[in-house]
Amino acid sequence: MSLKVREIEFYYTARKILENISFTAERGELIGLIGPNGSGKTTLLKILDGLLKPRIGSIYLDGKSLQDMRLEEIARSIAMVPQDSIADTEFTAFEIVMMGRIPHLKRFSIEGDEDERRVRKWMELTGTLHLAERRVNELSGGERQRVIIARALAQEPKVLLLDEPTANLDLCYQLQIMNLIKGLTKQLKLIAICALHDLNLAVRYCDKLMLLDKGKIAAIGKPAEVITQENLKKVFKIDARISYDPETGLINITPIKPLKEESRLRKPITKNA
Amino acid sequence: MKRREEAYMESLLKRRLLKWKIVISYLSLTLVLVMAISLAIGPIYIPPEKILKIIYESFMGVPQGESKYAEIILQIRLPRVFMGVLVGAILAVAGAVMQGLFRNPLAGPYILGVSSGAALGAALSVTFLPTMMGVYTTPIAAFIGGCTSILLVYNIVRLSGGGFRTETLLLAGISVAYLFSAILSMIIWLATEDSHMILVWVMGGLSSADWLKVEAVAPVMLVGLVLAYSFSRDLNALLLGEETAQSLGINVHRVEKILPIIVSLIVSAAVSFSGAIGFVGLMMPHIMRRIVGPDHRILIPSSALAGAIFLTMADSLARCLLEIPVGVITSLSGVPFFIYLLRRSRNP
Repeated sequence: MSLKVREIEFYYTARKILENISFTAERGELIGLIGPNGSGKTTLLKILDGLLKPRIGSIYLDGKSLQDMRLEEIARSIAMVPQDSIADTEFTAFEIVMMGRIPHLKRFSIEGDEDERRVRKWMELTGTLHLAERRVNELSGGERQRVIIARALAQEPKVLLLDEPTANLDLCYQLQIMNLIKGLTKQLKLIAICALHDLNLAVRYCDKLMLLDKGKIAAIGKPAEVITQENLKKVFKIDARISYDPETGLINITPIKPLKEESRLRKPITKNA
Repeated sequence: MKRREEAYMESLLKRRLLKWKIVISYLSLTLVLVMAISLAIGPIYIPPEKILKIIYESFMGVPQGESKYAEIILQIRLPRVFMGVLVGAILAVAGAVMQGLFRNPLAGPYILGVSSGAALGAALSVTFLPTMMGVYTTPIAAFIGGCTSILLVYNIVRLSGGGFRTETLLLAGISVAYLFSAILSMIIWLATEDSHMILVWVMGGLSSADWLKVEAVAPVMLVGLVLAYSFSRDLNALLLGEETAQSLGINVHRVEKILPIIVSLIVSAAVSFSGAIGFVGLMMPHIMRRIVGPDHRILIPSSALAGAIFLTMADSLARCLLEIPVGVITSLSGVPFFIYLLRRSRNP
C-alpha cells in the first residue's frame, strides 16, 4: 500500500508551476510539504487529490493510476483538508462530517444507521462528538479544524492531504491539531501529506520533509537532513540558526534576518527632519 | 449537561428525519387550508360547504346546471388557485437552487435575466402581434424571450474565455437583464397606447389563469422540482466551496453548467403565464433556511410549499383588493415579515 508519484509536471496556462516531482509515500508516514509562498505546495496537493490534472507524469495509488479513476472513486481513497472552508456555513458539525459519506452513497439514497455509526466514531476520535449539534460558524478555529478533519476521515481514505491545517490557529490549537494528525497517521496507518508554513512544527511532527523551491523538489528526506542552513538560505532566502535543545530533544529553527532587505526605509524620521 | 449527553445516544439522523417530516406535514396542511380559504373569498363570498359540494359533484360527474357559484369555483377560482400554487413553488425552488449554486444571498430565480427576457418578449407581442395566436400569443412570446436570455447569457460566458465560472455567469446574467430592461423601457416609452398593458404584465398577476395554462405549467413544475431535488446533495457540498465539493467526488462543472439552465427554463415557463412576480423566489428560501437550516434536501421541498402558500395568500388578497397586481402585494406584505425574521436567528 503506497502512493507513488512519478515525474509530475504542471502548467498554469503557459507558466510552469511544478516540474519533475517524484516521490513515494508509505502507510503510516506523515510527510511535511514545506517551501516559500508560490513554491507549488497547494498545487501539488490538488494534483494528488485529482482536482488538477498534471500535463506529464502519473500518480499510482496501490498500483492504480489516478487518471483512470473517477472523481467519486478518488474521493473514497483520498481526502483533503483544505484551508478553513466552512467558516460561514450554517451546517451543524454533525451535518458537515456526514458530508464525508457522500462518495459512499448512491445518488438517491439517504444516509443510514451505518453512516451515523461511522460518523460518530470519527467524531469521537477527533474529539468533536460533543459539538455535533453546534453550528460550525459558532465554533472556534481549532474546533472547526477538527470537524473538517473528521469529515475527511468519514470518507474512509487511505491518503489524507492537509493544506496548512495550523494556519490562523493559536499556539495551543496548533499543537493539538498536529498531535491529532500525527496520532491518526500512526493509528489508522494513513499516508498523510501536510503542507506547513511553520518549520518548527514541520521538523517536530513529520517523519519526512519535502522542500519545494519554485516547483521543484529541493530536498527530500529526514527532517534533520532537509532543514540545513544552506537549504534555508537557498530556498527561503533567510539567515537562520538551527539549534538542538537537549532538554526537550527538539530541533529549533530561529530565523535571524532576510538575505535581502526590500524596504526603502533608511532611518526613522525624527521630529525636526 | 446530562440531558445533552443522553441526546447523543439517540440517532441524530432519525431525529433529523422526524423534524423534516414535521415541517413538511405542517406546511402541507397550511397549504390546503390556504387554498380552501382562497377558494371561498373574493368579490363574492362562497361558503365552504357550497365549495365542497360543487367540487364533489364535479368530481363525480353530476351535471352542475346553471349554478353561478359552480362557474366561479370551477372555471375561475380553482384554476387560479392551482396556478398560484404552481408558480409560487417554481419561483421559490428556483430561488433556493440559485442561491445555493452561486453561494450568493442576492441570487434569485431571475438571476440569468429570465424575467427581463420574458417581459421583453411579452411587450413585443403586445405591441406588434396582438392577436396572431389568440390569447396564448403573449405567454408564448414571453417564454421565447426568457429562453433567449438564457441562450445569450451562456454565449457571453462562452465567448468571455477563461473557462466556465459561476462569477462570469452571474455577471453575464445581470448585464443581459439590464440590456433587456433598457429595450423594454424604450418600448414602453414609444408604445404609449399599450404601455399600461405591458406594465400590468411586468408587475405580474394570476388573473388570467385557466385550466389549459395550469395543464401547461403543472408538468414543468413537477419535472423541475424532481430535477432540482436530485441535485440537492451536490448543492450542500457546494456550500463548502467548489474544491471541497469536487474533492468529495462531485462533478462540480457539470452541476454548475446544467442546473442554471434547468432552473431558468422552468422559471421561463412560470413567468410566461404569470408575469415576473417578485419577492417569492428571492425571499422564501431565506425564510425557510432560517427555519430548517441550509440542507437542500429539506430546503427545496419546504421552499416549494412556502412559495405556494405565500403566493396563494397574496393572490387572494389581490383578488379582494380590486385586482391589484399580485407582484405588488407579494413585496408589500412580504418585506416587513422578512425584516422581522432577519432579527431572529435559526434555532437548531
